[in-house]
Amino acid sequence: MIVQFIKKQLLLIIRNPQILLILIGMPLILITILGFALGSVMNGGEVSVKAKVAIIEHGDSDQELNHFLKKLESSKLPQEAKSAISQSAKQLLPVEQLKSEVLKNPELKKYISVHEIEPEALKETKDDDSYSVIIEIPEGFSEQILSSMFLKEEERPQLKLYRNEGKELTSNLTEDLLTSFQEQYSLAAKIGESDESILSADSMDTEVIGKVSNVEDREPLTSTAYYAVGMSVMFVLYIASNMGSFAYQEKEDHVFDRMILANVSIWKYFTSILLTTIILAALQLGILFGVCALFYGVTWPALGSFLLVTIALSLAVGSIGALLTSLNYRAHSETFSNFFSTVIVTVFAFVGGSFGEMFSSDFIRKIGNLTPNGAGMTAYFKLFQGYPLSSVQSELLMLVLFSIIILILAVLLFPKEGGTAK
Amino acid sequence: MLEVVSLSKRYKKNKAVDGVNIFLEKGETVGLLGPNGAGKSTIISMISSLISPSEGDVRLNNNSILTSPGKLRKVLGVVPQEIALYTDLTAKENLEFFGKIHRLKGKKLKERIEGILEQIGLAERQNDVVKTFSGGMKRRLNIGVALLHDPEILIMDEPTVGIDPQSRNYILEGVKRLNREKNMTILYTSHYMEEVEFLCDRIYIMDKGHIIASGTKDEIKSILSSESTILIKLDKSSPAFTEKLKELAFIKTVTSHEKTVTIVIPKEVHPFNQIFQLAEETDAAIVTIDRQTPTLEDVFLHLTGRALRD
Repeated sequence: MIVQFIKKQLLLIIRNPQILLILIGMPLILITILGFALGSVMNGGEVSVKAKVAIIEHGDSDQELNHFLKKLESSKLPQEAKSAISQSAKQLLPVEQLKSEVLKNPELKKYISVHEIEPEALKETKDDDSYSVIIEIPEGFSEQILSSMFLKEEERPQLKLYRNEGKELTSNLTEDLLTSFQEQYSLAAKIGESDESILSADSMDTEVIGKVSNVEDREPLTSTAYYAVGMSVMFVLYIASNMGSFAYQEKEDHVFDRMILANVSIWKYFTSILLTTIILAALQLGILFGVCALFYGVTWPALGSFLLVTIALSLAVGSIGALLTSLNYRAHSETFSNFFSTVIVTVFAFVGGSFGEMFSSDFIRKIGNLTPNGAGMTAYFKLFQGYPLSSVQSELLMLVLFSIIILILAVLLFPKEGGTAK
Repeated sequence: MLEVVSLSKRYKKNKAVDGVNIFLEKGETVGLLGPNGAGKSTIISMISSLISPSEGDVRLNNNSILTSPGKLRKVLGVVPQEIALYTDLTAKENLEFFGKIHRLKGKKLKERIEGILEQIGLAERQNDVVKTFSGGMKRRLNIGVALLHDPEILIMDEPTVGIDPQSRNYILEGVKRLNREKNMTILYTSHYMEEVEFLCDRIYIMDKGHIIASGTKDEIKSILSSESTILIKLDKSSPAFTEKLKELAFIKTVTSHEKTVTIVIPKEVHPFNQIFQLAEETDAAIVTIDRQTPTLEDVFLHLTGRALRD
């Protein structure tokens, strides 16, 4: 008999374009829009923005190094120190370091293109709107830096940085890189004063800013995967409110009476609502994830674990559907279903993280994980990143406990006497 | 066969049904007549075990069904006043679903569905979604679903509300046939007097939760055996004329509906002269005037002072 209920419900949903749009169409549209719109920010994959950087050098690094070495030779430092500083200075030539470690770093090649420009072309370059940043290196810059670092000369030279305000993102990116370089360069120089063995070019690897890297070297979470999960766990909640409304409509239309008159016990009916909601939720998740796998390449490394989380989440949705049915039957209206679909789902979606990490508070994150969509989302993310099933135990437990508590409430609230609509 | 004993239903302080007694013998068609809000649907819900009575009992073959309604439900078909169907499913899908919840399956279910579709005249539209049906077709399918499990007793709660005369006749003929050919016991509720007169052997008249009269059609009409009904048709509505009629001492009841005024008078009274005189005084032009034997409507009017459809 349960099969009949499920078949009937499927037919009713399939023939209702509005519900189909909410359950399947809307999440797919949102996955597509959000996944692609925020892809470059989240993915760490291709970044569509690229900074065009002009570098204008008024001096000559080799000549300036020679000037510094002569100055060093004439200083009163011990010969051993002179020899060490001489070695370090050759390795720490600031302009060369800037070029090789930052601006021409192979890892940064896709973010930055560097163009060396003759000093005479400065004005022309400034007028060229295609550049995000112009770095002007004054004459004697390298010599003064080295003198300041190793010979404690007071004068500290400065680079000139021209930012193109119209290219905020790329100019910010370049400025951040330069700041990072400056910090690391100063640190390396300081270390060099105390321990020359660390003073090597290797220790100055700059980190690539903008790439989302995973500390444990797991599969990075792409934005499409994020929203495939976020939207699916959110929109699956609408199955519960829809089932609550459908069930109430059955009472209003006296179809429920027909079932009672056919000697279908109220508990059989209640069970059919629960099971139908669970199956429809699993089916909806299956369709959404299936489409995402086919069209967006969002696939799951451990299918068994993925199915287990899907079942646990569907159980939770089923119990909500049963509770909403009980509440609607008690209230003789669809108020509870409507309130759930308009208010609760939205709150759950924000707190659970369906639209991204909206809150920095740990407390809210913990609350989010107590929502079925939040717990489901965390579990799906972990599985997507290749974590083992044991890592999602707490989420699974949370979903099962949630289902049990809500189901007990639903059973207690379901009217024990089948009867006509008021 | 089916007996309702001192049945009452109370909703907070309001008593919807008060001490009602009804019985149905095997194979008879019984009418339950009353205006909207009389308590007919509440009685039907209690008889069909959908709601519990506050007091009284419902017995099937002398056994109370209040604590174990299963036996009654097996032999009972209920046609609710509402269209209790899935309007997004086809006629056939509805019959299949309800047939299966009645535990019919396989060949038997298929045969029953085909039979019902023929019976209600929807065989050609069986694969159409119900929401595309006319009101009459939905009503017929509503009845068809109640007949799926071949019940012995059929309770019909105003099954012809809001449909065209053609569909209404189709349904009434169908009900008559069910009773005649299958010896089905039928409890038919309506506020259409003519339907009850056409279908029923015995009639219960209800008002405000009470049975106010019961018996065969002739028995009920005999309540007014000492009275006559006069039907006066005017060229236009005249409240002044109606008011003047009420002042005549021998007139028992006066009701008016648009251009028609109905009065009930003792049989021995011959009031035509006075009526014409009053019409002249109030400038009302009488088109026709007709003396009739009492109808059930007149009986209801006599008993309650109100028309059935008020």
